[in-house]
Amino acid sequence: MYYDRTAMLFKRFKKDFVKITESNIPELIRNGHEKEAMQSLYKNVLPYVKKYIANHKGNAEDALDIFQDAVLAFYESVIENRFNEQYKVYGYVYKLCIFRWTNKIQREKLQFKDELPDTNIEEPKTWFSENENQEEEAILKKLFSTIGDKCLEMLTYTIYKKMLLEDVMLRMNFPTITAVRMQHHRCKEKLVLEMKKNPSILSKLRAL
Amino acid sequence: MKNEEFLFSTIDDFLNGNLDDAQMKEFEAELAKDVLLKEKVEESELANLALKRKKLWEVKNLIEEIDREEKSLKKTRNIIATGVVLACLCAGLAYVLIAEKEQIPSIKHVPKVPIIETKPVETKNSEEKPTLVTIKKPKIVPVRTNNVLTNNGEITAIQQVEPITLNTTNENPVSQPINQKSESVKAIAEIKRVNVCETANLSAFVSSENACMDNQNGRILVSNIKGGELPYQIKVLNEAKEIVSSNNLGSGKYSILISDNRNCTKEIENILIREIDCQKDFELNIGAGETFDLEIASQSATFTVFDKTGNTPFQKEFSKGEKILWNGYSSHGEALAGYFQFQVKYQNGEIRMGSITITK
Repeated sequence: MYYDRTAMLFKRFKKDFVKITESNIPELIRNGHEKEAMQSLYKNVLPYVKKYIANHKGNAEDALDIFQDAVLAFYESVIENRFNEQYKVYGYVYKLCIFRWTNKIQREKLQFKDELPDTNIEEPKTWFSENENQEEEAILKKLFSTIGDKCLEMLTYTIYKKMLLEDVMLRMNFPTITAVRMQHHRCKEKLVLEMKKNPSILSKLRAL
Repeated sequence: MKNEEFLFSTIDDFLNGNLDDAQMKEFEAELAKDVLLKEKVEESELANLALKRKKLWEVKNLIEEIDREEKSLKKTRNIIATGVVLACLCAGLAYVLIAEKEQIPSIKHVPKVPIIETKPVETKNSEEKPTLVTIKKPKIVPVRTNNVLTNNGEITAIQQVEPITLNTTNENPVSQPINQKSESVKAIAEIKRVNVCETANLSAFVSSENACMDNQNGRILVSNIKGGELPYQIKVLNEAKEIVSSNNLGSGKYSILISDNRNCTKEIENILIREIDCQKDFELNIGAGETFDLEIASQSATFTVFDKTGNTPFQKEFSKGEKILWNGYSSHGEALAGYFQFQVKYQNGEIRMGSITITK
């Protein structure tokens, strides 16, 4: 226990010397260094969000929920190449948080009035804090556990990260692009088949 | 199979928006009339959505993990900070205790030796000043003051010095109180004492009174002690370094040990007390038939009596072995009365002097 904490502290100390700036956070996310990117956001944005929410009838727990939703929205926008690189990342995530908190307060009909900060960024979709369902996570876990790690990796590259098949070939050591395409096809069919076996996940996904 | 793969690829391109406008229109038209295709597209779309949701769950869990880690780190930091603060407090407390302990010898240490009160010497005649650490040999003062002493025919005023009475009984060695403490405290006290004593600069005026022949009535007088911190303690030591009284000293070499309140000491050595032939004052009642019986002459001597005006009412030669006697009558047989000085001048030039008070 003590050793783990010490190791964690050392790791943290070491990371502080690997300069992570807000401008390279999208790049970190795209390259699969989600943890480093999230840590930077947590450290640099969450304290301000907590302060804001504490001053507007919320608490630390609310702040963390809102922050999670905002970060996921940002993450998705980066993955889908919708994030406008002209925005400062910390400011963008902070404003997402404020929008979400304001919307939540208004929806809950609390007598709360606040001027929204000047911004021209798009209002994000809601993800987890309002439709959170631990059951969904469990179903998804079960679903993806049946298709195997290789297939999950393949589908993550091809569908989620929309990588070129040439890149996937190099990353996963396939001999040809055709082989990548065939493997991708097989994995997706496998996934669809598993989904068909579980009508609850289908109805849940349809509801989103 | 090839057609199936082509269809699968086209569906992916459609969902990813990779079809051009013409292909898109054609695919949408097909989609509108082909239920099976529509179903396949929906299945593919839901699979993509499932994957996306899974990834978002992973990111969400990642944030929660970071939050747990940060909270754990914060807790650890708090524990470390508390530990550091406690360690600092303990160190501070220890420092204070050590500092207090160091002060014990200098503040609390009061020697158990009885304090000898000292006071400066008051002189009636300010012309005669004692010299610093110089042993003086004052003349033995006659019992009666304001009398006249003739010395080689010269009359001088008699100076009487009030001596300091030194009580040296039941004295303990200076180091005794220190010995009663622990070794470490003793060591610290010694260091402190040395440092303090470097600037003490103890000094005093010391004079001595010689002892009369066959008598132990010598004295050592200490006055005008300077430097150090009051009160002072004075010890008189003999040649064997034993503590003796400052009065009733016989002939010999003595030393003085002066110590102040902080145990700083100054030793003055080689104070010499000599044995001298003291003048004596005799009383003679001639009415009662008394006779002045001085001694048996060891050699021929001249006995001369002087009155207050310097006249010699009586003078007689005594041979060796003869008893020096005087009945209080003048050479002319006249009974004398009052105060007289006498002088015995021996053959070898030695002179002995004294006084005689004659009553009738």
